[in-house]
Amino acid sequence: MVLVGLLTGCSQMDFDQAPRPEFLRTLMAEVQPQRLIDEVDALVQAHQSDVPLDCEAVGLPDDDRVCHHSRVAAGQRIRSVLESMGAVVTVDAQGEGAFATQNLVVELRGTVHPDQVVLVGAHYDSFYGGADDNSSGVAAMLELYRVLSTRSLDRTLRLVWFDFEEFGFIGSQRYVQSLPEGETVEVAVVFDCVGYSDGRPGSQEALPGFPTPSEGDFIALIGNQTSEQKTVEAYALNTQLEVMRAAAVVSPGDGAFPITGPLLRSDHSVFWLDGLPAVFLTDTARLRNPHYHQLTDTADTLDPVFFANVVRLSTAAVGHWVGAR
Amino acid sequence: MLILASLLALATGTVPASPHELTLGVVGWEYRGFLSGSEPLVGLELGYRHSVQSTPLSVGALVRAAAPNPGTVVPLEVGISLELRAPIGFWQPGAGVELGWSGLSQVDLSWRGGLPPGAHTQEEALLGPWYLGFGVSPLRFAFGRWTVSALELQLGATAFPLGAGARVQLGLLKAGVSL
Repeated sequence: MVLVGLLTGCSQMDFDQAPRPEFLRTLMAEVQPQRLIDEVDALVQAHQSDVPLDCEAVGLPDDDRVCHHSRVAAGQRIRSVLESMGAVVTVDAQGEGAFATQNLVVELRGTVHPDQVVLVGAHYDSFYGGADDNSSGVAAMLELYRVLSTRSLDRTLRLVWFDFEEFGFIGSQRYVQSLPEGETVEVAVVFDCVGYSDGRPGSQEALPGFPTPSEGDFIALIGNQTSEQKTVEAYALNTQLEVMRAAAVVSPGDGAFPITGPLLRSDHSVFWLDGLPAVFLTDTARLRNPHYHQLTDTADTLDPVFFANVVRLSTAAVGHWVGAR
Repeated sequence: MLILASLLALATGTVPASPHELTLGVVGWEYRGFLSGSEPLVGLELGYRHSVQSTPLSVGALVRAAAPNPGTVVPLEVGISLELRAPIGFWQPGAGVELGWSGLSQVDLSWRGGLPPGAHTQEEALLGPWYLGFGVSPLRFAFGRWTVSALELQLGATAFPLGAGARVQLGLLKAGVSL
């Protein structure tokens, strides 16, 4: 594994395209922290009021988490919010039975290179209320859409809310395997658990393969060899724009090794395994958050400042890559 | 262990070692992918080893068998090995490499109940049948024509692609005889 940057330094590098810092700062300023927290609150309520998965029928009745897995009400909430902003939501429906998946897709078509796609994804299914995992990622994408939908984009921005991630990335795997031919995924940005922070020493367990800080107050930017350039660009943008503490790590090859397994536990892994570039943004989930996959994963445990900064950084990076104007 | 070694030493006396050795042992091992792992495997290993004259090197071949997991077609492993031994009296520690083919390099998905496989199908596809391992035998003792070895450790990776899976093996107890 190659450590490309850790918290400070490593800001000088060659971008595929020169960034426009002032413009990106303008985009970041449009992120509204209160909207993020309010949206997480609403999504948690949606999960808590939903009818959970029939864990007896699935054959896993002894796993309490599985008996508190939900997705339908959160999916309805996402559609409702998007449609209130004028978006046209398409449903990528695949599979049959209890694990039929419904990925929710919104697209902002590029005006210069429409076949070049910058894809942003997060799963919307959760165990229990799922504030950090993954209502934070869902809300981040909704805010990203709100900010960038008012802009002209050179490349196509596609946002996909993935279904059934918690059981092995089922929705994203089906989505990637049915990607339309003729378009190029320039990069996929995947959010999973992006709202939890703890600055106390000892609050962060180590990521495998590199010296992790003991304070859990950084955002991890995780790439593989295919997405190394974009991972380093995101890190350099963060340093240049002075957004937040960040750590970047790049796995060699496709990243699929037993030792890097903890870095693969979200939807970006199916992009990696399909040879597509993907950057994973995470607060490192269970390596930091004691509420991970627990009943206590509620909105009041999130750090609004940290969360907003993650969304600001993401907005700048995606805005840069998609050629927002 | 030492009592067993002493008894063997008394029983066998000092018989000149031949370059040909047969071994039989009980081993445990498992595979790990990037998401999950195999069931722990326990099986029998039968090996043949030939010492290269006037060198501490030996080459070998082996076959290993375990109870099949669901989905296993051939519950066997076959391999060839190269080992360096450093005899110090009757203590004969060694280290070496093994290249093999396994019909058991599969992840265990039984815990998923009725769930669709998801990314685990990709994980399983990456766990190829070939493996390369590096092992040490720190507790091997020779008594005349007999050898006994315990707690041999081997760490390896599956191929191809190399490193997509990890393989960990513990040789619990092996006995050998020079022919």
